[in-house]
Amino acid sequence: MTAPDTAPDTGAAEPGALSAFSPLESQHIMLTGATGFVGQAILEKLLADYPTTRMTLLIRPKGSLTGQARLKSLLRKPVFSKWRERVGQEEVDRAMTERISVIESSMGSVAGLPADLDVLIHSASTVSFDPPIDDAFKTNVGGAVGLYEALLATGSDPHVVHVSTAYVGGVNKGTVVEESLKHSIQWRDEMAAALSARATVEASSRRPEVLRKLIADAKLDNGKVGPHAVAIAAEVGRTEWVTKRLVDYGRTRAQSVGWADVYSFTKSMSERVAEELWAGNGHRLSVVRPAIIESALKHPFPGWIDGFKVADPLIIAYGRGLVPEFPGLPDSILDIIPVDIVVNATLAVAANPPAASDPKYYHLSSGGRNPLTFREIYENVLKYFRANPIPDDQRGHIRTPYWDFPGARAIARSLRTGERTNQLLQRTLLRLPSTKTTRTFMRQASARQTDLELLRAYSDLYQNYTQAEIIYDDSRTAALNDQLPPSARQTYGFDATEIDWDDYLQEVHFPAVTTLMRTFSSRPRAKVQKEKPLPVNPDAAAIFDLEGTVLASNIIEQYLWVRLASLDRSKWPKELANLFSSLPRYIAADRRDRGEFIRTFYRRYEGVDEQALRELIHDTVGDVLLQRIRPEAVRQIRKHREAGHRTVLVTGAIDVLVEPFVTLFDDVVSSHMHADNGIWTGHLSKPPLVDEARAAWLRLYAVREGIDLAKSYAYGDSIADRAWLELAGNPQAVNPDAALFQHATTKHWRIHQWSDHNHSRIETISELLRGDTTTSRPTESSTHE
Amino acid sequence: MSRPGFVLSVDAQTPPLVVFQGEKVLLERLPFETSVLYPPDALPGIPSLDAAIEHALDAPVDSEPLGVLLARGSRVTIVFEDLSQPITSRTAPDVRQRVIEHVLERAAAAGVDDVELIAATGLRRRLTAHDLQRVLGERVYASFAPDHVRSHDAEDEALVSVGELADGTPIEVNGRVASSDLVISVRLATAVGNEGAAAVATKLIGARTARARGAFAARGGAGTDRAGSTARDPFDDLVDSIGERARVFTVDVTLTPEPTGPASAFLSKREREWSITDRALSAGLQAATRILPKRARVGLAQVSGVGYGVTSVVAGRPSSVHPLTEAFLAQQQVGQFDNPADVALFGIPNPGSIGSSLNPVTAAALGLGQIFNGQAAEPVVRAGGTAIFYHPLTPWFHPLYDPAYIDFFAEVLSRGTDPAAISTDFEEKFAADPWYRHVYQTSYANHALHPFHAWYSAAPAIEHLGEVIFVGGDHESTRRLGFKSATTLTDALEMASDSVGLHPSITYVHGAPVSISEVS
Repeated sequence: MTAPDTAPDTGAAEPGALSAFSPLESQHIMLTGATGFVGQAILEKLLADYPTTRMTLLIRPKGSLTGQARLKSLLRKPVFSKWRERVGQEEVDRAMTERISVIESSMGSVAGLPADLDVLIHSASTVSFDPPIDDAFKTNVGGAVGLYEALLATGSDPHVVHVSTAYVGGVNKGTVVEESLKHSIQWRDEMAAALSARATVEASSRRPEVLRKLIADAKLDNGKVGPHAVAIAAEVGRTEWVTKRLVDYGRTRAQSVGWADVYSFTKSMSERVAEELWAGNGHRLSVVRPAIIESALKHPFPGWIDGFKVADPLIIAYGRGLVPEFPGLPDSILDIIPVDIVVNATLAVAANPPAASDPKYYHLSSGGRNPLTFREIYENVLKYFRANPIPDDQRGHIRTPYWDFPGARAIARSLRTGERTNQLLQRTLLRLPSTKTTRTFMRQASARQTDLELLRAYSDLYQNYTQAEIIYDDSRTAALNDQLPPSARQTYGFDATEIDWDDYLQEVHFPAVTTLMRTFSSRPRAKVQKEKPLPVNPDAAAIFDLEGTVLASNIIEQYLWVRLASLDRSKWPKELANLFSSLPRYIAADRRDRGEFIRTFYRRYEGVDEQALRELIHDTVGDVLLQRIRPEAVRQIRKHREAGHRTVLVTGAIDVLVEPFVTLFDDVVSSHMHADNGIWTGHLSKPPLVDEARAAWLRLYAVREGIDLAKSYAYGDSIADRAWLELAGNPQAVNPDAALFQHATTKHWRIHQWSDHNHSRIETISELLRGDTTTSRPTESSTHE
Repeated sequence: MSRPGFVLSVDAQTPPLVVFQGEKVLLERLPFETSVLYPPDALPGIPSLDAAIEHALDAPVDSEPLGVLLARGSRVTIVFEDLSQPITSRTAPDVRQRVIEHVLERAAAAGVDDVELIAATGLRRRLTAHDLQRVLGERVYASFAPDHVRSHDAEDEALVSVGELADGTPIEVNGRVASSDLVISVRLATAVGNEGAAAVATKLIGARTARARGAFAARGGAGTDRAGSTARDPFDDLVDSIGERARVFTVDVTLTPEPTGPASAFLSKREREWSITDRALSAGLQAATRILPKRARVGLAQVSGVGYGVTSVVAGRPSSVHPLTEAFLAQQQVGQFDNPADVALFGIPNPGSIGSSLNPVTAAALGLGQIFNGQAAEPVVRAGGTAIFYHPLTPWFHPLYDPAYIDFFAEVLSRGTDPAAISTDFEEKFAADPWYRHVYQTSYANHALHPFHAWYSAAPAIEHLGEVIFVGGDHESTRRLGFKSATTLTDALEMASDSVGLHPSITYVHGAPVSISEVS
């Protein structure tokens, strides 16, 4: 039963060990999941050490890349480098055309499998642990169903090696043996339920009570941006809600039937599919269940790994000092198995088919005979990063923390506290006025949030692995290894007891993952941006907001200067008291809606004589306002003019107050107060151009004036400006408020820090007191007092 | 006759000496054998200013008395110095006001009713209403404001051409001045060079003319500002009359070089001669500067400078009066000293009259101006020597007055400090910028060319010197100006030792610097 029916062909035999031991001789092997971690490694091993086998790969076209093109780029990956070096590029090309054929297909709909297969290795599966339930079932269960049905349709009888995972064992204690899973869950029922879950969730996501909450949440973050942004955010929120819900469906269903997550749940369902559809129909089936697969021990070279695997993000996060404590049991076994052992074992299983209808199961694990405890891993990681610390930007090296293993509960508690404090801090910061300090805090808080999210994700993900009190017995795998002739063990062996963990971790695995991390993170860091001249473009515009952007001032302050300059000094205290007592009302209005705030506040101008105000601004207040102008803004406007851009000022401020700045811009759009016989009524003559109203205006303006918005620039300081800033190709945040700062950071907008306090307000008041900027002619106030 | 200038050689008995550093006043122990140049004591003040003014107006030099020149129905313009000359008193009326009041009295007596007042601002900012009141007094201001008192506007469209510069650029002057029958010029000066050119018209020209006249290429090499070039200055034709019509009558007032109020007089005294009171005041000032925040210290300097004494009033035909004024002021210069030293030390205070700290460009120009236009007639430091200034060079700019300076500092000096390159690369851009013109004309900004002329004026000194070091200078802004900053004098001397050796000869010019009328 071990040897295939073909006799050894001595003439074509390779020299050395291979001539003595040549399994899978001249066989046709089909491989699914060849682009995955294990798939790549199996393909490489077949190409390198099984010279007479032919391979058919089932590859899913990805985007515009055909299956063939994906194979081509696959063969350029590092895993094949040693082989390519050894045999030369010509042989690689020859192997690609003569030994490999590609079938393009996605899992679930498999058409036209070859009829002459000897072995099928099914190693395709989802890589995510927490996918939505329907996605998980479609890939892991539906994929297997499609494949085995297509295989049955060919009428051939290959030996199927179904690659599963050791974690199909579920949440258990004690030793798990290599046999069919014992449970009574019906995969068809589960599959049907999973597929219908999306419709159910989609339907319930449209329930008014859910939508109301989503709208409320969207308003909280986007209320100031405008109603359209709220609607968009609410819909995005709904989609996220659906996904989250489906993930929850998956995880909870898995846990309710004894699996840790939807991944191991669906993998065990797919074992059932293989048993039922393939073995149940009188064919040969082997199931291999690898544990946590990590970097290669020896082949193709020590330390080969393709991206971060299960345990690696935790190792890296630890090395970066991000994991102060961890909810693992120090004596639990983290069952790691190097990828080359998995490959050799899988191919040995493939070469040793069981009897028809009598599937065999193999654990590819280390925990049974060569256990590695979580404590040992921690000690190794600590030792490794103390000896090879990760450099910290300009601050030497990161010092890794010591772990106490205080237990899951204590850690969960401190994690929760950390999350809550940080959330509270962020909410507070969003409500505070924006300054350099709050922006710094904001940046720290969001960095901290990233850390906490990472920690939370790891702690959820790894809990199942690091608290497992389960041992995977691998005696059948060991027995299979013992059948190998001693001469072949070097190339084909898969004995997990051979691993020297300390050596493997220190010399092979940790260097591999840290190198990987360094290549990921050694992208050239954003250097201090060198000012480049703006590209000349007569169709571009530069749109500026006034308050907070060009001026280090706001409309309340403008009003204050106007009033102070026009009022007799004896009336100052009364006016100030009145203004300050109304401030909370204005701030609350502004928090809800910028337009509402402007309308409310401008009521204060009721009764103002427009002509008198014009004179006042010409004589006095204009200069007070000019003191607030940011020199950087003037320079930026000048640069835009030099580049031929049209400079536009758009503001909710009243036109009369904008007067001193009009010469800076080609176009000025401002509010106008409604007047009755030259006396202001306190109402605007048109709705103020703020948030989305401004965006709508800008769209129209661009069309009318022939402006290319994609090449244009927009400068704003507040989250209320988001909607119209987004319209321009180059949105820029100037001294942004906390919310806009957050948005600008995530969207990689340019953030300017322009000077804030060139001239203090106290000085302005003292100048007004001194009459430094007033004319001799007392400007009579004809306001509402 | 007052006591002449004096050179002290520092030895073990020398007390710490007063050194100005921005809004601070330091007491520094200088290295032994440093030569300290004390200017002569201030000339005695005039006992009765009103009498002196009346006498000057009624018995002018080379001219009929003012009363005779003022004819009924004639058009009269009074031009007066702006804040580039100090307000002479915080409590009593300013000298300008007192002279102008006498002039106006005579005009009224003569039945002249077409009188206007124009501040001779050159390219400097307009005077605010408050400034005008301080200079002219409330009574004069109230009777002329707002239409008959104003500042000269170099960007005005109604300028009149009255001649041509050597390169053919027309000399355009203030239209009102050129169309007057009589221009009465009220001028103040504290030191030689401080009174400016003989022709008051240089402070009343248009921006185009000023740009051609002040262009870097049009300026001579080192030291020519003082010696006067051999080429004929076209402004020589505009000294006694401006254009065909306007005749100029000048009233030159000379002031003591430093404030002479009771509280701060000790600052210009020789330290060895300090009384107990002076010592106490000094200790108090030291303590105050240590305790007070920076902004308050600016005010302190203002309070301490209480007043300037008037040393002479001369009126008449400008071409005759100007040499007299120069000669009179020359008495206050430091006379003899040995050879130019390897290292010269200067303290730079923030002038109290401006009411705010100096921006770094102005401070540097003021400091470097001391090399050729200082209290001494000749440069006190040899060619290739080192000048060490005491000033913080804080990068602070007045938001209204200095918009062109802000950009000059941020955009021009950050690319390079070579005046020739600056003049070709940036001058046109600044001069043509509508925003600078707008704020110059409607607000209180200095003209866009102002920082350029300030920087050009410093060029001969930079050329002359091997090394320029600012003690206490803000690192970043000193570097940007192309100089070096040192924390202490010892450090500064250490830094200078590369070019002047370990035992350089050192001269310290005691007292406040002389400001040159062209740029202040």
